[in-house]
Amino acid sequence: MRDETPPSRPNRYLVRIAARDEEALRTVLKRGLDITSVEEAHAGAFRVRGIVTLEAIAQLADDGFEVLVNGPVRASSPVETTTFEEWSAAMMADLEAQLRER
Amino acid sequence: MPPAGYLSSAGIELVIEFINALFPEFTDRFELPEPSVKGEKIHGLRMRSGSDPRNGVLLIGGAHARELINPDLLVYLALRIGWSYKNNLELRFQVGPSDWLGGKRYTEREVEVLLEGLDIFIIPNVNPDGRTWVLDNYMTEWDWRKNRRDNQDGTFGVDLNRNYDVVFAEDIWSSDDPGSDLYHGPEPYSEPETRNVRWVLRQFPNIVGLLDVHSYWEAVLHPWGHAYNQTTDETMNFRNPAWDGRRGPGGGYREYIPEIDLQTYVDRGQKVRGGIAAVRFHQYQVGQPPGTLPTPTADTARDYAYSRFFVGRNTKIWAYTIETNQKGDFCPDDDDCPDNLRYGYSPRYSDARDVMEEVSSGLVRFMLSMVCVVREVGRGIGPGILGELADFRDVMLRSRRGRGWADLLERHNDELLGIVMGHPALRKEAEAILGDAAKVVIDGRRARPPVISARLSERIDGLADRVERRASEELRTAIQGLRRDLQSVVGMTAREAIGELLEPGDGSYPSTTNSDGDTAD
Repeated sequence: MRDETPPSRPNRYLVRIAARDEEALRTVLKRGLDITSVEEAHAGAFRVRGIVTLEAIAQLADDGFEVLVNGPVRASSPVETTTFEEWSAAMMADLEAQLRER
Repeated sequence: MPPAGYLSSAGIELVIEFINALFPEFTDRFELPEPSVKGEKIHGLRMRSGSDPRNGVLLIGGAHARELINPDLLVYLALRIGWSYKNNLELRFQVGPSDWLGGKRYTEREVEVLLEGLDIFIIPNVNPDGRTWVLDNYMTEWDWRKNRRDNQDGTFGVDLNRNYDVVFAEDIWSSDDPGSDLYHGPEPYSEPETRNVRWVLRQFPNIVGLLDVHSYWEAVLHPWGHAYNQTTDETMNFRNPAWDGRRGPGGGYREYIPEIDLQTYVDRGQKVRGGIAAVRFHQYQVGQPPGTLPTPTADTARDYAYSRFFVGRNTKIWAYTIETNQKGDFCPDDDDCPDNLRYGYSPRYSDARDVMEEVSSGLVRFMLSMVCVVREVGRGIGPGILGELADFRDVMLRSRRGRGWADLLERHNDELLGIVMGHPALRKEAEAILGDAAKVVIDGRRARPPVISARLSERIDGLADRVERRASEELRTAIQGLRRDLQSVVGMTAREAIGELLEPGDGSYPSTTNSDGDTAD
């Protein structure tokens, strides 16, 4: 069934957040953000990457975090899809070949 | 030519029907009790050959909508297993035209053990609405994670893998903001998709293994997700109200996990990792989410499944999450990389196929480790007698030493299974001894019950010698301990042996067999 709801999420942005120490890192991590990676930037400091809204960016900035905004999130290439008929035909051709190999 | 793209939710459903139609003699298609929030029926696949009791495993995928690889992976694996079993073929996973640069083969016998020694439940697409949403609106919504509940405040969706109940009330490592990607819902199990998974675990108490397939990070994760583990303070645990409100980050809270469970989790995780790495040498990390993932994780399917053992009198479920795929190494240059390819949720399908191949191998390895070695050895002596032995085991579990035996058996189950499967004569002798031991137990109810004879003890010793020659050092040590215990009960009846093993204070430990209890959900 098609979901007819129009996309309504606020824009999301790819960001890097600088956390100066472990306490700052914990503060970022417990905000329920969509975090994609955490790296140690240099001794004791961390670089957090995530996908977050403008509102969350503003809150982080208000709380004294440095936030580098890379740009809005969007897909730049469409997803590859297949139908059941194509999938099953391709799979069965592979499996039959495996059987013939034996 | 292999398939060229991801299946839709409807496509996944059709593949389940297709597999069931191809292999009706050893698969069942079952409908989950509740449709999705958008009213879609959700089906799973049950694979088992024969009807004798055995351990079950549950594989689930697609809880997070954007992780497109995993539902495809699970139906691909189901078809491959079924095909190999039906045609008596080895199961081979490789990424190139040949396996000279890596690959993993599971023998025909191992495929038989999978379907004749296990009850395999697969729910490939837990969150069909979310997947449909992502595929229908991919250019803007490729990163959608939740289901499609209308939260009635202009926001949509609940993060299904934060909707189980372990530390839900604590509201840590998830969000109570409906607009958040990590929104945990208004209450535990508020979502039909989550209740469906809980239903399977309640309905099929033989399930002893759960694997929840997610993306991405190349990791095999075991409990606990919400705090670092510790093995020394039993009182510091998710059930203890004295810790309520103090489990959050920075408070020094560590979640208790029995040491032997932790060792078993790590061992099994390493085996899964080995199964994956054999295909194309990708080395998945093994660990608990804190310290392995960027953030801890709370109230997940994995932690819920394991937690049930500690709350009700439920089967212990060895529960893992696999994070398939890389952590975004497809595009080395951050700024030029398309977002949807930078992250590992929906890679190019040619990359996804390689991921499916390697992870399928890891999942087979996981499932093999869940086959009960005692049931496998005793298949010839009949399910009725095995059932009697299981009852005896449950009584033994009231004693500390008995539990020690059971834990050791559990911990080394996989290694023992490998030894037994690789040596048919040894398996035959083990089966004969098991049959004789069963007689001591079953006839123990007679007026003149038999005793554990010196002859039986010698035969067990002889078998132990042969196993020890093939065993790891750790297993050898464990077997030697069991042999010492056995010596202390020679000449006793089964009942007297239990009396010998019981110590003051024994008798209140939760059984590893199922009863009707469950978590306080």
